Amino acid sequence: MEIDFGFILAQAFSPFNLALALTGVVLGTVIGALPGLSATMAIAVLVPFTFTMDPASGLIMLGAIYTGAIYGGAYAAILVNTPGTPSAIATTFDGYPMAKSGNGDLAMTLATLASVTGGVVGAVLLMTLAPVLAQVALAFHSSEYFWLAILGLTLVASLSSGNVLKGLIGASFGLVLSMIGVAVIGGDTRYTFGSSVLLGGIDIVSALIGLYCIPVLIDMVARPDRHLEPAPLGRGIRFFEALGHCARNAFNLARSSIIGTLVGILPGAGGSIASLVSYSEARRASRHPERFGKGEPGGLLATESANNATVGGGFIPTLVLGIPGTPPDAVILGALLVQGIRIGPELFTQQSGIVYVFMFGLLIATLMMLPVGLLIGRYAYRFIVNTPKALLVPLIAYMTVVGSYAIHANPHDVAIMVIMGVVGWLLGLAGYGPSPIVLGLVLGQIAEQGFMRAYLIGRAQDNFGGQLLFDRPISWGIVALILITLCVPIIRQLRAGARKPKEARP
Amino acid sequence: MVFRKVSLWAAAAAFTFLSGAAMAFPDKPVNYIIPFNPGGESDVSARLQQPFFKKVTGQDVIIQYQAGAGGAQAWSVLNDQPGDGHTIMGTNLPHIVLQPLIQDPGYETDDLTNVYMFHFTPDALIVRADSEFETVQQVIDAAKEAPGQLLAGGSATNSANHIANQLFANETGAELTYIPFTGTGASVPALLGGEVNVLWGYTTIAAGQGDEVRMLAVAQEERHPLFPDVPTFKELGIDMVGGAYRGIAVPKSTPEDIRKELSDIIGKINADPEFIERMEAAGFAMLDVPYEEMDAFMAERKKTYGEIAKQLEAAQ
Amino acid sequence: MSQNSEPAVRGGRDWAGAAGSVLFAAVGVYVFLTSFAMSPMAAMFPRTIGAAMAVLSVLQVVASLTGRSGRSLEAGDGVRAQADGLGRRLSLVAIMVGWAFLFPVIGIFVTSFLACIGLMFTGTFGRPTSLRLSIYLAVVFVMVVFFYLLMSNVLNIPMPRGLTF
Repeated sequence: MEIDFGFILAQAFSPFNLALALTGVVLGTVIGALPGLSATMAIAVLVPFTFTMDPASGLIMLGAIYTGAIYGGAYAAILVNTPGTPSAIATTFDGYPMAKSGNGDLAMTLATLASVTGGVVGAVLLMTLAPVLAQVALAFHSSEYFWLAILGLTLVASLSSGNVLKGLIGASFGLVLSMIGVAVIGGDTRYTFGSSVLLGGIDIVSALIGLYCIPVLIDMVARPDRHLEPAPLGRGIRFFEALGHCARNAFNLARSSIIGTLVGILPGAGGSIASLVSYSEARRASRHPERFGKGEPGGLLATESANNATVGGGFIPTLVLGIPGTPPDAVILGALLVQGIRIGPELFTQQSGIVYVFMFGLLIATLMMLPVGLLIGRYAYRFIVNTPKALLVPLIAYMTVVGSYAIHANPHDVAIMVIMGVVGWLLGLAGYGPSPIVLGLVLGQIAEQGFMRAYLIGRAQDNFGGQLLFDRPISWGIVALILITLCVPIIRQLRAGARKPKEARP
Repeated sequence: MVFRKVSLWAAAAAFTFLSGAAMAFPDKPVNYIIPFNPGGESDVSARLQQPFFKKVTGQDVIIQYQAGAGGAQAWSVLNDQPGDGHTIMGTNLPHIVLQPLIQDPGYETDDLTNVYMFHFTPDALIVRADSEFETVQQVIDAAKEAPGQLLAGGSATNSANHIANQLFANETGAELTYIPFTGTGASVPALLGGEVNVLWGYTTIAAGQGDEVRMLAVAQEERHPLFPDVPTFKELGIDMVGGAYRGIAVPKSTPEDIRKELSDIIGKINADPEFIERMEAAGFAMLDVPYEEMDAFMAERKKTYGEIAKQLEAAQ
Repeated sequence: MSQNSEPAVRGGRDWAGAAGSVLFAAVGVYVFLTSFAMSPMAAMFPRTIGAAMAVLSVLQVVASLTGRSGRSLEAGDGVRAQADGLGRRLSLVAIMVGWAFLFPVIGIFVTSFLACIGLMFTGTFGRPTSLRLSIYLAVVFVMVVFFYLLMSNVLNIPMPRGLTF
């Protein structure tokens, strides 16, 4: 079918659609910045209003909210060390240390630039290669999901450098937490202690909020000094300095954006794996891996570009195969279904006008994130720095409570959030950091189900080894990456040791 | 700081304005709680009902989500809600029967007061469009040749799909290995990507996937209007009619006359030809179980699921 | 994740680490043992992870007690650093726990308002003027109202029904 690009561009750039994209990005950023309030929720609330609009306009608005919300997640991650969504977990690793040391303005600008870059790469790949890339979603079987989760877990080693043993124990604890509830495979009720409250398991977002945010709050009230180091008066948003970092990290940004898009295509993997894997790869490829986790701009750029690239990536299976790549995609897909628009291969051929208007709209919305994000980010940073603790503490605490309640309208999630927070604080006293636990919790289900399905299939066909690894070329690739990630630091250390053998360690 | 405040207020104002404009009677909108995440079949069918509810009653429906524990989280608190008819909740079968049978989800099946079952998604046996299987008989033959080797995907353990697989085995003697996935979002790619040979799904999947998949049979009394060429299991001599049923329940404290009234409203929506057309285009199958017939319907379903649940437990 | 300058515990005994690890070892053993009551499909992961966790934790206990336990990159402040402002820390924890468990009973708005005022005083250092105090109270009130309305009326989230609202 002939595609009339002039018409599509005129539609995508119509003032009404541009206004919708702008509104969507602003709303999305604000909602994403509030921990617990998610893109899924914002989209679900707005879906009925899009029914009164032209389908393409409605889609543009929903897409803009989605991309804005993923970006907004960086705010709470950088400024209060609280990832409001799993995709912002890795953003806390370097974002919060930067903010702590007075570079919060730079971190916010870097996050904006990276998100826009990742979002644009994802959107462009969606527009150009969607039908081809959609096959990635089908090529990944259970064994690949298992290995992908293991690849994500290798990050534990680098996050806990100094005491890897404690990191591994923390990760095991996270894996145990992920088992709570009804097992998808086997159907058993595990570790609920007879309580129906725990049947659904521990909600990842409420655990995230508790583990990361409660210790920060506890620290905040203990000392009278400011929460974050303020920037010197008159310093701007350090735009050009940030651009310089981006230029030095050009390859890192490109790699992370592509990883983000590819992982975004996989239904059930999502932004958390995308940003964790990109972070891990950025650290491995860096010349200064030891700076990661202490406020390295490269780490922040990697995670933020990857998680925004998952937006475009997630739309690939959604629009091409009718299989939602992420929960917000599922809502959008449902909205299209209610409007009577058939998804799947037909959408690209028969109703392609709508699809292309939407994809251009998404691209425009992503680009709008640059001015919007720089502006909102600047004020968000100043707000957090300048608000007296007497107000900041109740504000953040209130956000954690209503945020974790909002996830499922469930009071138990709030209780779990607070319990996880206190447990996280006590474990911090014993030298156990929160991130290995979180990684175990986030990746546990993906790892277990991937492995168990491969096992079930392998057992039915008497070929477990083949099913898990030997007959699966993509798994070879992921396993190779796992081995590289684990071995490179050891080789580096050995080499460094060989070069200066007699330099005694302190 | 000022700007952030202003932008937040502006955002809130925009929201309030939008929601204000859509409500004709903001004093008495009905809250419709969906115990699942947005985007699923329960959500889509509720969204389809939304405009017709307004058409019939002149009042708005506000759809709220309270997902968790496969729906159990919302169902276990249904009776705590005010029983004035302005809070209604979606219910799903077999979930509300199986969950209390297998574990303690915090509610009993009889705690839920269903007022209407308005549609169901019939079980369907689905294969890839390029699959070697053209008919159900071929699947049965292949499964009998190598018991357990054929892989059937589906959503979760002890679910409607799992039941369908067990029923199919009971009826035909064909043993397929059931592979549970986290939901249709994961099981459909597994079918398309060749990880499983056949998929236990619903007519909605076939409606969404179009030419990519082929449906071999549906578990309905009569053929689905959207798929006139696909036989029912009954036509093939396999006694399977079922799937995931969806209805509406109210808190126990809701008075009898309001229950009846709600049942009538849903019945009227269900009779609207435009509503039927939209539902069937999305792959749903219409069903009318009003409040008066609910007890008999539930008793029959409980009996069926109870027997299967025992078998599933024994199979472990 | 703070970058404090507390010296590494290398050489010294890491009592807190040992205590934590004993706890984890117990969890590991529990997870391992209970897995035997599960169906084979659901038991495989708990059994493996539980065993690994128990073994690793025992190793860590030994390392902690022999002074061979390093500080990991992300570890929080040690016990000694946390003793600073302990009263405030504990009152924050108490308020949060009370908040989380009481709001379904009392009502989210009232509980949140009271908890926020409590936290406001917890986060106040020095003696604020009465003007400042009344401004703070007003801001806290507006904030609680704003997010309550955002949740209940804009995002359509079913709010819990307690004794009050």
